[in-house]
Amino acid sequence: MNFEDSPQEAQFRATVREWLAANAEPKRHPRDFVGDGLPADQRLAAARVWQAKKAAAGYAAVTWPREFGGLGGTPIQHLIYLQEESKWRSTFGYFEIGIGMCLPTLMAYGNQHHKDRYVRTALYGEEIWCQLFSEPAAGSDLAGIRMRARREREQEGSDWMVDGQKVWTTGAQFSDFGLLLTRTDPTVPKHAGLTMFFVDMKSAGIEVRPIRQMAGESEFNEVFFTGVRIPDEQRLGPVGGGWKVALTTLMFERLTVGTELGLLTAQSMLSLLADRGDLSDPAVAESMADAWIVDEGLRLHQCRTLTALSKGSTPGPEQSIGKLLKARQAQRMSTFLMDLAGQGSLVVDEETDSLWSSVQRTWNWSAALRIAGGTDQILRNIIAERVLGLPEEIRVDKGIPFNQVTK
Amino acid sequence: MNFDFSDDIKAMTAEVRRALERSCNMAEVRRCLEDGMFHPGGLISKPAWGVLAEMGVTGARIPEQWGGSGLGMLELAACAEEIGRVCAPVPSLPSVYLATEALLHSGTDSQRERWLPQLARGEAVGSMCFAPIDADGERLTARYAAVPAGAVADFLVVMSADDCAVLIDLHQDGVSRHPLRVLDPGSPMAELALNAVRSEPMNCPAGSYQGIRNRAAVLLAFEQLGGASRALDIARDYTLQRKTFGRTVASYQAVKHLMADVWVKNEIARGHAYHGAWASQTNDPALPLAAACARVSASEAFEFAAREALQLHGGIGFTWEADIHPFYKRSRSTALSLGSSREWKRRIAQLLHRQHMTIAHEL
Ligand SMILES: Cc1cc2nc3c(=O)[nH]c(=O)nc-3n(C[C@H](O)[C@H](O)[C@H](O)COP(=O)(O)OP(=O)(O)OC[C@H]3O[C@@H](n4cnc5c(N)ncnc54)[C@H](O)[C@@H]3O)c2cc1C
Repeated sequence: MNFEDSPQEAQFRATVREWLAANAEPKRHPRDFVGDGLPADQRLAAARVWQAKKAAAGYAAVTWPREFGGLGGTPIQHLIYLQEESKWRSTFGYFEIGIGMCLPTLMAYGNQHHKDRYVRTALYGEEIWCQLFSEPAAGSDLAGIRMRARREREQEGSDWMVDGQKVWTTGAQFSDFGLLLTRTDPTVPKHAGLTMFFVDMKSAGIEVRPIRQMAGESEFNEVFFTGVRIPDEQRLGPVGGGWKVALTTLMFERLTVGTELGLLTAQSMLSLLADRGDLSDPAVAESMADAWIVDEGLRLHQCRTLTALSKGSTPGPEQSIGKLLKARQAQRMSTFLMDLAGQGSLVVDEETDSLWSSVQRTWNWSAALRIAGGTDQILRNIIAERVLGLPEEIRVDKGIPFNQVTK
Repeated sequence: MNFDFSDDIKAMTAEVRRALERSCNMAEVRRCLEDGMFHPGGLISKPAWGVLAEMGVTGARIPEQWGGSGLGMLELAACAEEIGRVCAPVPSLPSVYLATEALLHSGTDSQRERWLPQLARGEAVGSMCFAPIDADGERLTARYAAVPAGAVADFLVVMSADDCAVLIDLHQDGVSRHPLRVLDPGSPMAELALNAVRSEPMNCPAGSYQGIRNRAAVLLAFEQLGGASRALDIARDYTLQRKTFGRTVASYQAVKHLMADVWVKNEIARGHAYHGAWASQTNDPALPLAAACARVSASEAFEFAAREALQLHGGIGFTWEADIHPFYKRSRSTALSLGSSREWKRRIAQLLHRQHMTIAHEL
């Protein structure tokens, strides 16, 4: 048992450090990203520049095979890169969904042409991807989506015409492509009638409408499809095989969402409490300890996971623990700190790099994180069923053709 | 990075598990508890203690020259989890994790010579109290209100917060023992009254008091972890076979989510326990904080798991015949030995504060 880098890992860390020192700018505060303070389009341009540099060095996807622009590295090397990068300005909010979820799905189900055409440009930040899964009537119950795709002509290889609505699509407003789950056959039970495509977001018939979120910003969108044509060539997996493809994406999603949420950590809670001189209060001290145990516990859990991965196991449903604990912990910590500070903590801190603004941001965003990418309840179901082997939820629509289920 | 036990350790604990499951099933645990209820103080599961001695667990950390197996903290920690899994009524904390460790770290040559071989063979039982020492020369008069395994212990180590320690042979005139009725008869205690007994000074280096508490906290965390994961297994098995309203109880979402929460707490506690074991083994500066986190998270995980596992049994959970009450009781007694979670949480905050000030100072 040890936490030290192996000689190869130490060598990798040294190389990464050297590269970052030569290519990145130091972070001035925890939420300091490339292009901060610039107008939206310039901020995105700056993010693309940094992403391209990273990709050229192979660090944009450490674990991907070299033929796709990765380094063919181990999960531990990926973590080493993230640890080192966290000390420098990088980007947040543009490329995670594409590189973390959509492209791995494309690599698993796409043909050689897809891989040649789309992987590299996404890696270099030239093209951005979004995930078009959730709909107004289907989130947790994703297999209940209704967006309808029909062949234009009843023959193999024909184009598809797509109609319907997606919702909560993060980043759709600046995305070039989207991974799209559709219903191609409503006459079979819900999981069997799905087909996955990817779609050019500039296609005629797509309309993106930003949704104003609880805290005032608009990161996610409604996306309307009216007679959108998609070539059969952009289908991923067989017709009717979309559910299996979606599960691949969701597995990658749980790994992505669990890693860096950019929220308040127990370490920043400690700084805040130490500066305020509150730690001598036993009740405060106990809450501090509770928060520390969760954060540090998740770090150690991750170390166990990485050890298992490096011995050849594959990431499984156990990974649900990260997001489940982090989101609730963030909500609890931020609420606690605001309680201590009193009513004054309700006044929005305009200094976006201050600890208090991070508390406020965390308080807002923790509510979203308990929902996005699998709600707390769905993650508990997954742990109960897939880790503990408890019976599945009762499904009254099981085995019934989708178009005969009462909605 | 390699944050897991080695294959050798896993093989060793698998054997210990098999042997303990044979010698210390729930019927044996209940028998001991029953004994303890009606004859307070005297109990130890002889078959379980015998297995632990035979397989080298009681002497895990004792060097071979004194008849032990000369193993490390990692090995002992992994075995502790197995002791917790079967809820063995044995004095592992007072004798193996405390008294033996105290002798190894602070015993004089003759004290080690005298006690370690017997401890390794499981023939002697030690216990330990953390209390101020007020000895008059070599004579000690004192009263200790609740000494773990006090009714059966052969010797007692008393250690004070300022790193002084004495060893007292309990087979001498002036020692009187009063076994106590306790909530968890599996962890019996006795009141010890010492009247001008001979006490032998030990050689305590600075930091011994906290050091030994930290290491014992880690080992106990493994026992608690074993208990917590067993309690979850028991709850799972019971709810899978019990039916209400025409469905298995385990199929209700409230029940599934409760068990998912237990699993999550157990996983977090496991990470902390491993970290504590690693820090004890390597004597890393992280030990004080790692030990405190291991202690708190394991105490909380075990109590939550045992309490909710009992709940999920319905009425049968409150009976003597069910397998869950020994865990419920053990989870409470282990949460209080070595100090409550509240104390350890304040310690965590103190250590973090100190760490923060040092870093702030260096910047
Ligand atoms: C910030 C944010 C960003 C997002 N980005 C994207 C994106 O980029 N692409 C995308 O496709 N989607 C995205 N989503 C959508 C997200 O995946 C869904 O919101 C989520 O899966 C929940 O679905 P829902 O909103 O339909 O809620 P519902 O499924 O209607 O759930 C409502 C409530 O019922 C509970 N519930 C539902 N089913 C069960 C059950 N079986 N057992 C117990 N409780 C249950 C839920 O836990 C929840 O509390 C985003 C969401 C948020 C908040």
